[in-house]
Amino acid sequence: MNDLLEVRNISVSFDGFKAINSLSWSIGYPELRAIIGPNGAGKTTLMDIISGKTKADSGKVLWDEVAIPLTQKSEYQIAKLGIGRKFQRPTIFEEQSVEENIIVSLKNKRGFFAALTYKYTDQEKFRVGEIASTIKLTSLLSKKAGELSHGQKQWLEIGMLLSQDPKLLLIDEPAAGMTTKERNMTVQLLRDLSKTKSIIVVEHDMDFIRNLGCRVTVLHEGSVLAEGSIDHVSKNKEVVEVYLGR
Amino acid sequence: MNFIKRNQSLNFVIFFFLFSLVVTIASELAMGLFSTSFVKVLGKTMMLCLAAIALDLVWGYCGILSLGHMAFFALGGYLIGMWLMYERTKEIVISAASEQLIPLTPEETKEAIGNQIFGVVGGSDIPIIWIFADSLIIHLLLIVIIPGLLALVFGWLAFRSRVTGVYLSILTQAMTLALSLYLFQNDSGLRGNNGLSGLQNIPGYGNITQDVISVIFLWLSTFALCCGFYLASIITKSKLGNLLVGIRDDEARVRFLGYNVELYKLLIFVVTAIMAAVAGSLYYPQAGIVNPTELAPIASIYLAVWVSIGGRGKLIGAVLGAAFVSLISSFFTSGQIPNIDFWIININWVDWWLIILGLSFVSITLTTQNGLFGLIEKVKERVINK
Repeated sequence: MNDLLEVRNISVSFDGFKAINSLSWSIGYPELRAIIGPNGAGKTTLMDIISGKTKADSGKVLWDEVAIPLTQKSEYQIAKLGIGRKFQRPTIFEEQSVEENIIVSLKNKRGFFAALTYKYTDQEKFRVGEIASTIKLTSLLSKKAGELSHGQKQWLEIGMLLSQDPKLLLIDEPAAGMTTKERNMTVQLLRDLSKTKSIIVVEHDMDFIRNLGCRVTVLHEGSVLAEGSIDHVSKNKEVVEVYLGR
Repeated sequence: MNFIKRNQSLNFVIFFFLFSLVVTIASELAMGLFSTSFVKVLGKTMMLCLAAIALDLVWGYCGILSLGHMAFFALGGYLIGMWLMYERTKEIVISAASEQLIPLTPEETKEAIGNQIFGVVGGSDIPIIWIFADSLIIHLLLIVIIPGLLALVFGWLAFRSRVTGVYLSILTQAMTLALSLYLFQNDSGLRGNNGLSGLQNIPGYGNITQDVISVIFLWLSTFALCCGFYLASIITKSKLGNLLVGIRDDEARVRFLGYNVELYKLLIFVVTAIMAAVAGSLYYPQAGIVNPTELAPIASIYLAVWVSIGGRGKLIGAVLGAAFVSLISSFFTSGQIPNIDFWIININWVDWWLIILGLSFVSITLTTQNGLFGLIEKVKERVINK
C-alpha cells in the first residue's frame, strides 16, 4: 500500500494558538481512515490544510506517487487533482434540483466557456443515475435540493464529491444530525466506497467509528497521539485520559 | 438546464418588435399620436432595462451587488458622446468657415473645434483622450474596451482578495464615486460638470429631423435589448447559469468542486459591465446630455432598487422592474401632476414620489419573494388553478 497523501511536519497557528503542531501523517490508497480527538485537536484544521482552505505556516503536503506539493495550490486546483471535501454543515446548492447539483459536480472541463457551451450527454445522464442510486436519491432527482431532509442533504454532498471522481475524500462529521438508520446506511456507503478510494472521516460518534472498522488516528493538541485499530487506541492510557475518559 | 421554457426569449423579441412597430406607427404615420420626446423616453427606458438585465446577471444570479454598473453605463455614454460632439462641432466650424474667402487650415479647424467644445471650461486645446474622437469605429470599439478594461482591473483586484458581500458593494460604490468626482473636474478633459451635450444631433445627418432620429434610436434600442436578453438567457440556461447561482448560494462549494470562482466572478463582472456600457451608449444620444451626476452612486442604487422591485434572479423581472419604475418615476417627477393641498400637508409629487418609491420597495420586498415578477406568477397560478 503506497501513500496517497503525506503530511510532513506541518505547523499552523492562529493568533499564537498552535492548531497544528509539527504534524506528520499519511494515508494509503485505497484506505478508510477515521480521525478522532477532543475539540480543538486540529481535526478540521488538518482537512483545511489538505484541501487548501488554510495555508500551513511550515511543512509540506505531498500528493500521490509523484509527490506533488499541495501547500502552494489554491482550493480549486487541489480539487481538480482529485481531492473532494465535505463540510460539517451540508453545503449544497439549495435552490437547484438534485440532478443539477450532481451535473455541475461531474468531472468535466472547469472553464467559463466550457460551462457556457456544455451539453448534457446521455452518457452523463447514465452516470448521474448511477450516483443517485449510490446515494439513494434516485426518486428525488428533480426535487429542489433545499427540500431534502438533513440526512439526504449529507448524502447529496457525498454524491457531489463522487461525481468529481476523486481519489481522496475528506469527510467532516457525516453522521451529525442523522437518524440511526441513516447512520448505518452512511457507514455502509463509506465502507463500499473505500474499496476504490481513500477516505478520511472526522467524527465524534464512537459507535459510528467502531462500525467503520478501520484504522483510527487520534489527534491531540495538533499532533498524532495514537494510531491503530479502534480497540488498540481505546486501550491507550493517554487517549483515555484526554478524550475517551471524559 | 434551468427548465425555463425554450421559447421565452423568442416571445421577448416578438413582443418588443411589435411594441416598436406600434410606437413607430403612432409617432410617424398617425401624425404625432406619440410625441418625439415620448418616443425617446421609451427608447431610453429600454436601455435602462438592458442595464437592469446586466445587474440582474451579476447580482440576481451571481450574488455580486455591484453599485458600479451605472458608472459603466455613463462611461458608454461619454465614449459615444465624444464622437458625437466632436464631429458635430467640426461640421458647425466648417460650415461657418465656408462663408469666408480663405478656407481654414486643419490646424485652424482643430483650434476652432477646441474653442467651441472646451471654451466652457476655459480651454481651447483638445485633450489627448480626444485623439480618436473623429473616428466612429474606434469609439464604438472603445465603448466595449474601456469599461471592459476598467471592470477587469477593478474586478481582478477585488475578487482576488476575496472581497465579498457588503464590502464588495462598498468598494464598487467607491469606484463609482471616484470616477464621478474625477469627471467633475474641469481638467479631466471631459468638460467637468457641464458634461457632453448636444448628443441628440447625429453628425452627417443634420437634415434628418428629431422625430425620425428618435424612431431610429428606438429600433436600435430594441435590437440591443433583444440581443442582451438573448445573451443573458443563454448564459442563465447553460451550466454556467447553474454555477453562477451556485456561487451566489455557496461560493465555497463551487470552489471545492474545482471551479476557479474568482475567474468566473471576474468574467461575469466584465461581461455585464460591457452590457451596461452598450446600453449607455444608446441611452445618452436619446437623452442629449451626459454629465458626471449620471455617475453618482445613487444612479446605481436606483438600478438595484428597480431590479429588486421587478424580481431579481429573473431576467423578465429585471426588465419589468426597470421599465415600470423608471416610467412611473419620470411621470411623477415631470411636474405634470398637480400638487395636492391636504390640510397642513402640501403633497408635491416630485418630492413625495421618493417616499412612494421607498414604501413600495419595502412592501414589495417584504411581501413577495420575487418582486413584481413573483406577484404576476402567483396571480397566474391562482387563475390557472381556478
